[in-house]
Amino acid sequence: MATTGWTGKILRVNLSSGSITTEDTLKYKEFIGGMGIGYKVMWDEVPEGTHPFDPENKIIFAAGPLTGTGVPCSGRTNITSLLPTNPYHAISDSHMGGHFSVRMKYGGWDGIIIEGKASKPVWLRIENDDVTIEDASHVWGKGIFETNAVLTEEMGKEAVVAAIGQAGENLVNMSVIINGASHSAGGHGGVLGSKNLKAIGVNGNQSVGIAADRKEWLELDKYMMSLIGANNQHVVPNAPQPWAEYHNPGSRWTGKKDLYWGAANPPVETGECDPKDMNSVGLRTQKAVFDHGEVAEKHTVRMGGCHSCPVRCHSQLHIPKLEEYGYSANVTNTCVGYFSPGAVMINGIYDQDEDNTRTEGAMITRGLGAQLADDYGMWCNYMQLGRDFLYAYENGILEKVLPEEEYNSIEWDLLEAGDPKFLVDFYRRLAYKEGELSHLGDSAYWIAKRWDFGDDYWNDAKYGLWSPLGFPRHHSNETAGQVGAVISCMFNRDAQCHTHINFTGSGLPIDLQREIAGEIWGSPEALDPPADYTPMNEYKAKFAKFSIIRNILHDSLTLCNWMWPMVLSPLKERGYRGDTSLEAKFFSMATGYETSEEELDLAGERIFTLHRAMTMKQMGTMDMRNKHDLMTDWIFDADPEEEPFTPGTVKMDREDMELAKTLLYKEMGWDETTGAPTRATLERLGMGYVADELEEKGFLPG
Amino acid sequence: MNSNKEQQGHLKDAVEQVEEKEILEILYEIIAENSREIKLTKRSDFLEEPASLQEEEVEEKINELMDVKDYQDIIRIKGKKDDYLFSEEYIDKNYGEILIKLEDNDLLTLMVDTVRRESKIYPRPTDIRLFKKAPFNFTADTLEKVKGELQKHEEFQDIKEQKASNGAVYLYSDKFLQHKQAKSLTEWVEVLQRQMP
Ligand code: SF4
Repeated sequence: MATTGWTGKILRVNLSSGSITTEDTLKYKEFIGGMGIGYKVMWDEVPEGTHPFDPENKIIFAAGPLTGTGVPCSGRTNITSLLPTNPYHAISDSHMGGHFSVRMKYGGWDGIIIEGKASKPVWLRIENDDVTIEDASHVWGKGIFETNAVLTEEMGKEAVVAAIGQAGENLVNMSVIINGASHSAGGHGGVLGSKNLKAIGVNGNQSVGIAADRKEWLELDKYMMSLIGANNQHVVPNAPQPWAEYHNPGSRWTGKKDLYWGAANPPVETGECDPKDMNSVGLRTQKAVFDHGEVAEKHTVRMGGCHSCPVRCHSQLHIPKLEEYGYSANVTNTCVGYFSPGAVMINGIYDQDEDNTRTEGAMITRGLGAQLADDYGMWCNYMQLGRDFLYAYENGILEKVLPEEEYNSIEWDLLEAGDPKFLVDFYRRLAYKEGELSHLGDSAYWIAKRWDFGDDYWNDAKYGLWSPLGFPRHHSNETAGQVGAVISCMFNRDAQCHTHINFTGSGLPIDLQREIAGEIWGSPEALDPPADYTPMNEYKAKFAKFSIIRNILHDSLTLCNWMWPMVLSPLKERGYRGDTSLEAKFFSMATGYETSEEELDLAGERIFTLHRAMTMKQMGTMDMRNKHDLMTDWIFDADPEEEPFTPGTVKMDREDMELAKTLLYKEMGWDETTGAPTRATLERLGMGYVADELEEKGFLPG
Repeated sequence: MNSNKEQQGHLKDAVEQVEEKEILEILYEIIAENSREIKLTKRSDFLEEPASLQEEEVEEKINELMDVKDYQDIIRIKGKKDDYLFSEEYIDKNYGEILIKLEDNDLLTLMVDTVRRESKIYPRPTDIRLFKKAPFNFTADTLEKVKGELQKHEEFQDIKEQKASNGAVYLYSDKFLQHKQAKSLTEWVEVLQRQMP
């Protein structure tokens, strides 16, 4: 019987033997798709102790049943593998937007499992059922932009190519896989490099079926579109608007009268973007101005983004001055893709005065750096790269660890002058692993070890390290206190979870947010006012669990967690309420498997618990509380004058954070002492086999 | 059978009702038309064409208008210089209140009310650059002047200034935000948030 939602097939390619086989997707149905498929394959097939760059490691590109159906914001691809930057090389996922997974599904595939290692550089060509391993010698050594252009030319303009740059080829820990010009998945580029796999090109002319009646589907889609906000599901505008009851300067809903895509021909005015006007949804997020300030307005050609996304959060800019550096005037990216290179300029930028970080120089620097990083395929570990560089620089470490000749060859004068030209040399050294400096690309944990960073590196808020496992804060304690803090402890890299920040950053008044929090998580106490925290409680644990589970579901379905879930809406007449059942409704209608919101959440819990179990195996411990769910000291020791839970500080309390872990473990059905899943929970989630294996290894709580 | 006199009486009532309805429709249309263009309607506008009401009947007609079931989108707010009306279909009440203070040129109250509202409901300190943007559109001079005025009034002493580490100036009301919280939120909004996008 033909499947709907899923294509029904997963491709398996062994690069060592050249074998290409097909598997039934529905054997992974309980794991939904995307991330869920990735974790299950890794659990079943990759033994603990495997190095990310060993041929025995696997890498799984997978989409979920909603990708390709046209559900808004469903163009994401989930990539799962072992993570080189993690001290235990534990399992992790990276994600990219763009059009890759949709084209993969149009080719008839829900996922691609890559295993083994090719004897020479190759690329994988997928055109419907026609799958071949091709010689990649003509693109090996090339940057991502050229590789994508060359291979797309060979396959045809409808094809989508995901590739690595020189960083991935050279097994730089911090490297990415990119499709399009800016849709970047951070952390696993080196895994492809280790397999001699330069790229995967996908094309196909099939369609993704849906089980439901077309009219009902369109109705649901229309309803969903009425609830959608701007990027990050911000539901109020950035500045006062005639139609708006509220506004918030942190909102990405920047569209307003007299604001333009100024480099479009003719320029396009975003207009007021009244929430009831569906035709202006794509104009709400003028992200260039949000990211770079007003200076970017005249350089904005348009907003780009992922397949089936009406929101479009990637700004496409035309900045002629970039040509002076030998790079294209056209650049596209969003958010950290722009900010990270700016942060590498640790002495500031040439035209930046004290109270203005939104200058033309900053925009040029980010535009140049984004091109360099994306072309070489360098990752930034959520902006940690700049902070690692800063620590080494300002503590005189580089002078000690770099050979004199290498040290003297670095253009420090450019860095000191805030000249973005510095980035050209910097990224090249890292991507090609040139010299000692390039070890910055090993990532935080490894470089701190290699260059013997002091305790202050870990424990000073300035350097932003969240975990002793080497990843930074990312919507952590500053976002809903213990909720963001405990979420940040649960993964093997920065949590990449936006469910909670989408809610707290929505722009609505705190009382209204708390009222809605009460409806969803049991009590308004689930959310504290900003910078006015109270001790941990069970409702915060429910909020944290919901945030994680939905994030996991989005990466499995595959939806964009920078938009989903629709907890809120911009509609005053709905009291700004959204609808948390939409994922389950779309899932049921796409696949034909009638699934309630609770049942779908349970699948998210299953996937997350499997991630936990796999991490335990890889770390060789069940004491997750003390070995994995860790925080650096600044989180507790910041603002030495202040006590936790006094207005004005976001510092955490050590005992209270232990309670936060306990309450989250309880919500998850994990052992409250160790944080390891119990047999009862694993069996409730249909994973008795995981319990058996953990028990055998001595990791099942008693 | 009705007498002629009675018939004439009914006819007169009916004509009056139609006229009454017409005038209310005209008033509504004036307000809606202005609101569509994001403009306020003043009570005094009704003395002019096309409404052309007499001073003594304006109040009564506005009251009647506000009672019509189909016109519940109309909001009436007393300003300093006039009474203002607008349709909530096109102008949210909060935005309308900003426009009223601008129309009344009551910039000090506008600044104070804006800062207090933001400190109270979100809560957040207010970036003074907000007042340079639409719909406020203060010039740099006006902004400085209005900010300077704050200190001269006893009743506005709850409005305090807070600087972020990059020098950007924010205002908050200490009736609703404690100093330490305002300081922390200012730094968050202005500096830290951009480091953690
Ligand atoms: S919001 Fe941005 S990242 Fe998410 S689907 Fe849309 S374009 Fe892609």
